[in-house]
Amino acid sequence: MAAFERSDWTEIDVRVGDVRVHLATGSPSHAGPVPPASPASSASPRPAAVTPTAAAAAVHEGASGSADATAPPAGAHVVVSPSPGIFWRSPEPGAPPFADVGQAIDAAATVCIVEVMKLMNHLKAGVSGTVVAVYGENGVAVEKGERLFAIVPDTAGPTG
Amino acid sequence: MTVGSRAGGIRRVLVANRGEIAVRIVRACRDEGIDAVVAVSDADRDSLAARLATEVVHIGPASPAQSYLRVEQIVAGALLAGCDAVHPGYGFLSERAALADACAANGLIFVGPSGDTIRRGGDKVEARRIARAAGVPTGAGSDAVASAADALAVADDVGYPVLLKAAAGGGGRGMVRVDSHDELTARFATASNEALAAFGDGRMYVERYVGNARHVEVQLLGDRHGNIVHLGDRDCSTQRRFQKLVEEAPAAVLSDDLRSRIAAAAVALGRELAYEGAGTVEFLVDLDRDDFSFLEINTRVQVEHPVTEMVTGVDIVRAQLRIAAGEPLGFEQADVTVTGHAIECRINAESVDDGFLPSPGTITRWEPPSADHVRVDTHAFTGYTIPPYYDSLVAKLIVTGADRGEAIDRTLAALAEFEVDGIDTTRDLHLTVLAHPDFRADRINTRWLETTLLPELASGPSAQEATTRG
Repeated sequence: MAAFERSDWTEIDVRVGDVRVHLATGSPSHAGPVPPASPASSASPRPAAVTPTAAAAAVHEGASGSADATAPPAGAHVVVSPSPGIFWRSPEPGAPPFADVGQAIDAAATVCIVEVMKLMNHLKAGVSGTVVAVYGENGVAVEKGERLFAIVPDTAGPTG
Repeated sequence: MTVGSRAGGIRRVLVANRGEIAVRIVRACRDEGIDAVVAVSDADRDSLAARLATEVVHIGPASPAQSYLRVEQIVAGALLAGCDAVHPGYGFLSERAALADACAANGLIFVGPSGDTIRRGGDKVEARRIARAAGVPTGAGSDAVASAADALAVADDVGYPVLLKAAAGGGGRGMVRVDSHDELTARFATASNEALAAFGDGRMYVERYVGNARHVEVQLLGDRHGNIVHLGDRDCSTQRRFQKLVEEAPAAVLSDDLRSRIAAAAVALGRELAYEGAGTVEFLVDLDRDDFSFLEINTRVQVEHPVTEMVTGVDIVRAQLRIAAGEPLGFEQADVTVTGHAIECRINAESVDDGFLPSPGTITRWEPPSADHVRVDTHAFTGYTIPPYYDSLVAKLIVTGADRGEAIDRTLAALAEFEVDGIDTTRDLHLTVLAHPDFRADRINTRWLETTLLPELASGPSAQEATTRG
């Protein structure tokens, strides 16, 4: 606790056994129900927050559920991850993303990188159109088949 | 030979790493009578290191950027688990001065050199300056060049081809071969911008490109009492894309004279840095000129440290712990002897036939070889699922022999026994490498694998069959 207060760290989240300690400055970046740990006088671990399983629920689910609020619009081309790996939205840290919602994109353009065992796999848009959804979060682990982007093609569906 | 007395100043170590090196560190802690707490991401909760550990600290999601690369998570984990020291292993935060600094600021012992030494050693231009100050040859080339014009002036003088390298690069990253004045003119700005993007530092320097080169490195140990010794040399010339595949100790290709000059240079550099801990000084040996030059210093334990352990009898990871605890080395240079020959093969989860594509997945059969002269450093076991988020190293096969020829024979036999199903590995490639006449005759250089062996493999399966079975 003292180390956190002295430091310029913005957030820590560490679990030892059944004990989880989560400290953050300002607004918490985690969406989960994590009550802030109250100051304690001793450095010994104490029952602070939630059970170890609660935070793991942030893992993305596949596009299987019918009640999926984030389902891609009909006719959209969905870019999925070809393998498990880490989803990178930018060519390097701090750089603008390859593709963002509302952006017009060419079929041959790179939309993201999926890093597998340090191999950088550049994924292409596949269709020319407009990006309507970005599903993954930058730097987060993704599974094979997990959808990453939805792109509405310029000429959606057969026209004639 | 053991270093000093037990690492009594350390009681409980946080192992801030994963994979085989986390297992290696846990075992060294156990040998020292120290508790080992292993930091794990979501993907490593069931790892072998976690199973062997005294305790486990969960430090975040699978992505390294959210776990193993977060200084605050590592330090908080160490403090909450009641550790008094942090061992960074290799890779991840091992050469980030920020972790060493944060440990110092929080009363934790960092098992490695000071943040200042890491900073000075990690900056390639500064390291070259330090090397020169220590009388270590840095090879034909420049200090940092700010512009294409400066780079051209140096390169025109040194002669082409040259390597254009990022000051903040290293480990094979951030370098490009340039063959002519015009090519350098064309490529300088791009290379500098890429370095700026990748490392946050656009400074570049120029080195003569050595075509017939060997990668030779010297293992150092230094303590805070001013003792510095070397544990001999290693040859890591069998590389692909600047990544080592086979390492050997000693570097059999060196003449006695060159060997002692290289060792002296490494020790001089260590003294210049007042080096504390285990470190490695890497050199490029120019076979055509029978000369060498400084490449870089790695301020951590190396992947290939076991080959040195096997020929010297010094446990380098235990030495790291004892040195970090403030113990003196307890032996001198004259006490270090190199006996026999050791070879390490990196068994990576990669499909060699598919362009070395990573091959994560579940290991359905894991039968490593075993014999008196065989050591396998690994975190793998039958049923283990290799996660896709980290590097592809699954095991290091280390084999010793009375001499290089015997070590090669025994390595081939051990590789043939090594059975892995469920994932693709580099095992068969190693069989081909070690059976190759060029390798046996030690007639290789850092480009041999890519310019000779892999083209031979691609040219026909019959050639491969002849060398693996022959």
